[in-house]
Amino acid sequence: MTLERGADGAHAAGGGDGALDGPVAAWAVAVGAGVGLGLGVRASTDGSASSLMVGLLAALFVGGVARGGRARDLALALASCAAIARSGISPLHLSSPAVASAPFSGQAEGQPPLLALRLGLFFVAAVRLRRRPRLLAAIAVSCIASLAWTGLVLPYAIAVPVLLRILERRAPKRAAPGWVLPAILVGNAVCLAPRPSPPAPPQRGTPREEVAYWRARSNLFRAHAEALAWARREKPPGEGHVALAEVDDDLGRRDTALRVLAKVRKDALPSDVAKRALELQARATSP
Amino acid sequence: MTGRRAADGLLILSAAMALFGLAYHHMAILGDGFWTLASGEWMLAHHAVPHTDPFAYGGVSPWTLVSPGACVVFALVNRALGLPGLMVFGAVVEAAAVLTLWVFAAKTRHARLLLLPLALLFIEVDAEDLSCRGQLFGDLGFVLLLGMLARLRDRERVHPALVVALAAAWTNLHLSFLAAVFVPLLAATVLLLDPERPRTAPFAAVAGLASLGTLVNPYGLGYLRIALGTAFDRSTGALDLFQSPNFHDPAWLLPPATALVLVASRNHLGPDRLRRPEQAFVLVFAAAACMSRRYATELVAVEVGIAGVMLDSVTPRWPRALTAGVAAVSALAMAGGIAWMLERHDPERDVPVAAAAVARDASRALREAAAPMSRVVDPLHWGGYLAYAWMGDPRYWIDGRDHLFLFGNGAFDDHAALRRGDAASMDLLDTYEAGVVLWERGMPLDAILAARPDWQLVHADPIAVVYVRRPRAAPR
Repeated sequence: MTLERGADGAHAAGGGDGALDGPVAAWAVAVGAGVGLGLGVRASTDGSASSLMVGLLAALFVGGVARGGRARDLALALASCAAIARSGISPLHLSSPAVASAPFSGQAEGQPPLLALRLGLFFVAAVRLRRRPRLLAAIAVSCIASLAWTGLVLPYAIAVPVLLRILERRAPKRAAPGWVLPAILVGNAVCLAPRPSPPAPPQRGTPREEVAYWRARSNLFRAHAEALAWARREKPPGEGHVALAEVDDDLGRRDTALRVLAKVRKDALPSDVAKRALELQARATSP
Repeated sequence: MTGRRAADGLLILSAAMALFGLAYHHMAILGDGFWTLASGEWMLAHHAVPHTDPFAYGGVSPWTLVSPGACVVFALVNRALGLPGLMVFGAVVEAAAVLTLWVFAAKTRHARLLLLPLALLFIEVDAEDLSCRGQLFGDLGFVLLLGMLARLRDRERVHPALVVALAAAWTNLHLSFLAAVFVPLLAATVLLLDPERPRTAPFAAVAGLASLGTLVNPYGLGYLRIALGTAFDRSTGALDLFQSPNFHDPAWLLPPATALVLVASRNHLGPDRLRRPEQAFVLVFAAAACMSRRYATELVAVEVGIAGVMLDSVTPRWPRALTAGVAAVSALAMAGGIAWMLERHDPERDVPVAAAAVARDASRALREAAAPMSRVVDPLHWGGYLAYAWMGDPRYWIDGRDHLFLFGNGAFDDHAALRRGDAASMDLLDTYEAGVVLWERGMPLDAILAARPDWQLVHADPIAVVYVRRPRAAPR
């Protein structure tokens, strides 16, 4: 099965490049489609209804064109739809001229999959349309134009697979290898599997937690500001003062630490805080 | 035959002049260049690499200096030639990288002639960020890496020691050294698209040897953690250099458009062998350049490498016109190169020289007066110059060295808040114990401080302002 075959009107069977012909390419396309579909489903379930709507509409449209085609065509169409759905591009978004005319930005949400889609489609077109350089040039111009105006990516992403499919419709059909479906299923299973939740951020909120948080991040100035605000609020001087003295000590200000610590009545402190205060005092007074 | 050789030599000479001239035209010493110099001076003075930050007070400790080799090289050049000489040196390194690529990518005269604009584009796409810093060596390293991969592509041998040496030198000269590991793996992967591919094992071996070479650095594995973190952490994408270029500017569309033209043309030009892998290789770099303008130079380098082979395969139809073309282009390139070389550059044109002196003196005066707050808060991109001008006395708040580890403790985010002039700006100045604020003129923080009775404007010039905290205003 070769991607070149029939696409440019000159049957290349047996004489084609055969570059994408083979188990490796088929494997890559199948798994890519599986991953793309999985991501698309995930985006549709996690994201907005408009993403889902556009994904489904595009899938129906392109899938309809690809109906009866080879498994690879369907996989390509599904990958396109998945990328569109993943990007979050919706009719609402595109109805805003500002968004549609904005340049591509890889930092905008959902744009990287669309970039991969643009260039992936161009690669497939370059392989299939070897003998149609003018058509390929037009696709290249569309691709570049969609970088300048992102709104063009949707018609580009739909038109290129459709065009390739129409040009290929006379190509001989082949049954998809038996392992394509399992590969797509595995790819989807991987995509839809629950992701490990990110580690919980350190607990923050209380003055004690804030000071600990900034000390853990090695930002002693932030920790000092939090401890200072805590110490100013507390009467009589207690744990806030101890925390302030600790940060002052971290900053290398032993005299200041001792002065702050001197205000604290250690017998009124909880035992663990009193222990910290005594340790700090011993450390700060040692030569 | 002699005339043809002379024409070839003339073309190479004029191209070298044009490349050097253009590199010199855009060369600057930005913040990164100044902290590079300062760090190099520190290492030359102490005969060691720093493990705590000698210049800024807002970062974490311990700390790892990146690109220590480049710091030493640039500091030595600065000692010998001064800042103007350093800019010439930087232009020589950049031009040497592009010239090497151009000469070895295309073997025929017509190919070199046609490829020269693309070689100049290599420098032009980097114009905004071209400065005397490790990135110059990074560009050179990438070109040498492409040369090694081209040899493997052509089934030639690459000596393992060369790979290790390149990776070791690159590791110490610029953080982009990870390319020596990942690009050969990428090349091996795209080769799978060709059934008649060369063996992929040598490419994997280059990646493995390069990995070994990266361990030759003064910080060991910790240095790799910094490099990997900087390359792959999401926060890196927030940096201007690593963001997508503005594609409404047609100039930024040139590199990806050239990539698509090359991919399409590769169907008809160049050897059949490895057609698909080369097309895929270009497109991967096109994707990287679209995601981040940092990779636009790498894309153009790949384009030069592949276009050279394609153009070599074409036989020119008009040999006489070619000779005339070589003469005309050589004359034009030489004239352009000379014109650019004659430009005068002030190495300190982008930094607040006078304001920095005022801020330094004000901070020292506050410290001597035992003021509770005497530190200098500065904008990130001027920090590098303050490192160079002050050499740690006084220390300033922040610079652009490392957003992830050194200033990943919240200082980088706080800088963004100050730059926006957020409501918390005054609290942040208290937090970082600012007695002096050296800032950009006309920014929101300038307006905030101008309206505050507890801060006094002591210096203003076209680009910078300096405010000093009035004595009674310090809280606590």
